[in-house]
Amino acid sequence: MQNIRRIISASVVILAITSPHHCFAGDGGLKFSVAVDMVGEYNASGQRASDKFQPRIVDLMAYGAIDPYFDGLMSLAAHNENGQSIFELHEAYISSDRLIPMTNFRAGQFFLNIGRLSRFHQHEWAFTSTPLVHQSFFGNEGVLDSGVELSILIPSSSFFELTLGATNGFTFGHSHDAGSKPKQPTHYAHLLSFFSLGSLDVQPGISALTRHASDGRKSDFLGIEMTGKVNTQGFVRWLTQSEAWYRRVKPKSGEEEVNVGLYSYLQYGFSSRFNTGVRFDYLTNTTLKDVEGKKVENWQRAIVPSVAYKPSEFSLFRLSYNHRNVMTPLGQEENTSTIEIQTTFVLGAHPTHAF
Amino acid sequence: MKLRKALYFLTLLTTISCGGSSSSNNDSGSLPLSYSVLSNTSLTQADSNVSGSGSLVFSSPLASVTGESHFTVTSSIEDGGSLKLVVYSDAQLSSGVELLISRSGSTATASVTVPGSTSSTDVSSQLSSVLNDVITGSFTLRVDMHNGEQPGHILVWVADKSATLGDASLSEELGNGAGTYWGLSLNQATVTDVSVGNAQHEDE
Repeated sequence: MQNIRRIISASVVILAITSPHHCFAGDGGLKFSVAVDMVGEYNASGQRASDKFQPRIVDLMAYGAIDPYFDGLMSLAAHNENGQSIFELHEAYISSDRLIPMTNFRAGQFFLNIGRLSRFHQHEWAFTSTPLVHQSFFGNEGVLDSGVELSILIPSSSFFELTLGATNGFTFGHSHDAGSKPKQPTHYAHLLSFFSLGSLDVQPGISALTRHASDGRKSDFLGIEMTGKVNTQGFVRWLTQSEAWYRRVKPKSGEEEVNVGLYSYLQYGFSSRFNTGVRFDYLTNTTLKDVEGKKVENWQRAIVPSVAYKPSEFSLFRLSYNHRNVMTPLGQEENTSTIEIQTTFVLGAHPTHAF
Repeated sequence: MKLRKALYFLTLLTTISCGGSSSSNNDSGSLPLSYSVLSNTSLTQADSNVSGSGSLVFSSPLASVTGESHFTVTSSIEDGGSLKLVVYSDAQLSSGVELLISRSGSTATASVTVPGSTSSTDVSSQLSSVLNDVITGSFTLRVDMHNGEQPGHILVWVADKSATLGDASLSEELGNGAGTYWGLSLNQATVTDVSVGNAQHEDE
């Protein structure tokens, strides 16, 4: 019996070493990373924040080449839900940019390639809190769903990348359960471009998305984005990032509602380690009426200045002040201010983004 | 003399008809939130309460059909009566999420109805402590409705509990309303206070 165990153990070791799929980080094979994002929100005025510091999200990721044709990525994320850290599957997809020239596809569960913020993990954002328009339209993070996505580099002297996607659509944004089968799958398109103006690199984009939920509620989204960077001496001297979104919601039996919102962020880097930025948010319901049919003034605005210390690509400390000003449908103006403290760190090799 | 008597009688009549009663039956009122009366079976409106039977819709809408709000209603229900809170509905209080509290003798029940559903969901067991107050007198409903989630998420707290998910007496995802209005439907009930504001519980 002992000899059999020794033979089995040796076989396992030999197979692990000689297999083309042996998994050692750093050799071009499977890579692992852990990203921890911790946030504290404290009320400066009003009672909007939780007044505590806690891990907002812990991201465990494994990715790499599956074989000469495909890549794979899997990430688990723990969110703090009502005092408990709940681990759930975030992304799990197979992808390839080697099968068809100038084309990349992925299939599985992923953050939809729409807009700017949805494409990045929250701990990679240039600011701590979620912009008002993004929170209202998509939730606190990017839009997560399962389906297929195809990105095509359009043959042109300029850079144009068109992404088309279709996902299940059983849920959209925050959901407590698996959702239910929609009338139509969620489908979207995203056109990105890139150009340089001297030292300024600019990536503009436009997105469109439609969802027809199981209860008959139809939602159409249209967004434009613009990201600009000026790099100097190996770090980002100037960063500007803006998105504007339009959403039309038509319940099955009810009136159509239109919301528009935007955020705009500007950041200056003193050095590779220190930067300061400010973000402006705006959101309004343009079709809101009272029972007599009169239009009702309403809006939400926020201004969020911040300073950040970034010792390396793997750690970050950021302090922000989030001042929010709301005109409610009751005609009351509410002001709240929150101090936000953020610490993030990454262990291992986190995949990078192109821009 | 006859003229004097007639004038005196007319003056008396005028005085009585313009008397100091604070009750009236109007098409609108203020609770403190201003509202419009949709149906008036036997509704009596005063400065700070409305009682009887009828339905009313509050004048100011909710911020968005995909939003979330908190509603507080303080009321009392007579034997055989009921109170229905309707949220995220159209201006006629249709296509909304409804929380119905009914009283019959020493029993009170609660149910939730959502648009598109053929039946109500009985939530009496979850709201037992509120229903005890319904039988004994005045009660306060504290309700979050998260209409942006799909299905919509309704939470109800009893008066002395903190607004956390763990302290909610009722937390159910049943369906969504289709509008931005809200109101009340009274049947032998009195409402003394209402308010609306930001959702008390934010899902993280």
